[in-house]
Amino acid sequence: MTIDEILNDQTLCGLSLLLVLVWAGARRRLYALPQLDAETAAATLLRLACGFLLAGASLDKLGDADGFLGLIKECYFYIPASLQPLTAVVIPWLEFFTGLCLLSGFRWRAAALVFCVLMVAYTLAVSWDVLHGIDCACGCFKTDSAEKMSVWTVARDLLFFVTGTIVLTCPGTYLSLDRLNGQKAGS
Amino acid sequence: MRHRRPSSLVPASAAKPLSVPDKGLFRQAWGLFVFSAFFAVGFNAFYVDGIELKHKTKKDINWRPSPQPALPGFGMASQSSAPDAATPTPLPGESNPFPRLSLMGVKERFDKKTCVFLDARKPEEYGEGHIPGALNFYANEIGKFAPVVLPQLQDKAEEIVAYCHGGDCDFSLQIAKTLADAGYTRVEIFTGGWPEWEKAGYPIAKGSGP
Repeated sequence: MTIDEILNDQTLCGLSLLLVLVWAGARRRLYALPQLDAETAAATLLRLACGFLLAGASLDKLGDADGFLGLIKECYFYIPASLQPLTAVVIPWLEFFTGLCLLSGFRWRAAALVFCVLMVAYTLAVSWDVLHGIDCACGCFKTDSAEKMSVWTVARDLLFFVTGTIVLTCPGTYLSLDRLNGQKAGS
Repeated sequence: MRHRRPSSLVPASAAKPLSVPDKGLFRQAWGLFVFSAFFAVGFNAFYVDGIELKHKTKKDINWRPSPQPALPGFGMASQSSAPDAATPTPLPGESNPFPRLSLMGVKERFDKKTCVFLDARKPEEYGEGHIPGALNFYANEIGKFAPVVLPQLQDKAEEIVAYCHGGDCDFSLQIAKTLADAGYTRVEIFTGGWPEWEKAGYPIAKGSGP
């Protein structure tokens, strides 16, 4: 069983939900951590998860703009034809840098905002395809993935959006370059 | 001696207030987007496998027409799957430019009667079972079937769903390309094809007629 088969839409939904519940528990102070604020620690975990997810999703597409363009033409053909090549080139790098910012904690709150916008766009795009019965792999993590889009893909993207929103609105996180710079986290 | 109140008993209202995105944050996010976009375009310009950012039309890339006569003449010879020098050059990333439909999408269209189905399999297979209402358009004998089928497809903007045996079968793709060349604008492919439809237990029709 490969990592792709394990990290399918259902398990990613479960993992996202688990992280959200961990954060919700910390926010309601159901548990405490020694010397750490549990809510900030949970938000840090969510931030790192979002960053890892986005940077990881971009890696397969960075050097394969042609393959990604083919996927856009096939599955997201409603994007105006003149914008398709630009989308195929820009989106992977936007994902990569946004993921990097989230992982490193440099301008992480702005990166969380971009993450949320991307998730809204992905949710709308995948929903359109699922509603219209388009038979495609979403190309979210790999351009040649065998897993087809389904309601689970929509649910997964919605949960990613929720995690992004939590990071965006959380009071602060640990392990961030912004903290090292002596700035107020995320400001 | 005072005891600390257990953290689980602290009311939720004591949680820190959530941060609200401000104007500076939007500026930073926009900056991240612009930086990524410029970096991506620059990288693409120098990368060996970079792509053309300008949208290419068939005219731009010296589109060579198919050797067969245009469909309205109905003089088309049987199609060969082997590529030759006169095969149209595919557009970048355009290995299969037709929307591919899932079983659910096809069933929805079937129920709503919003499209025309084209069965690209052999007439014998069509006779043994096909989607009710589907027209037989055997991909290996396009010249023979086009005069019969195309007059029934008057509206070139009508939604057309082509199917064949599913899996690796490319008959549906062949007729989709033929229809697209003839000016039909909404051609789609049911990738699961007849096996998936039959397996799902959906209605079937038998015989040589739709």
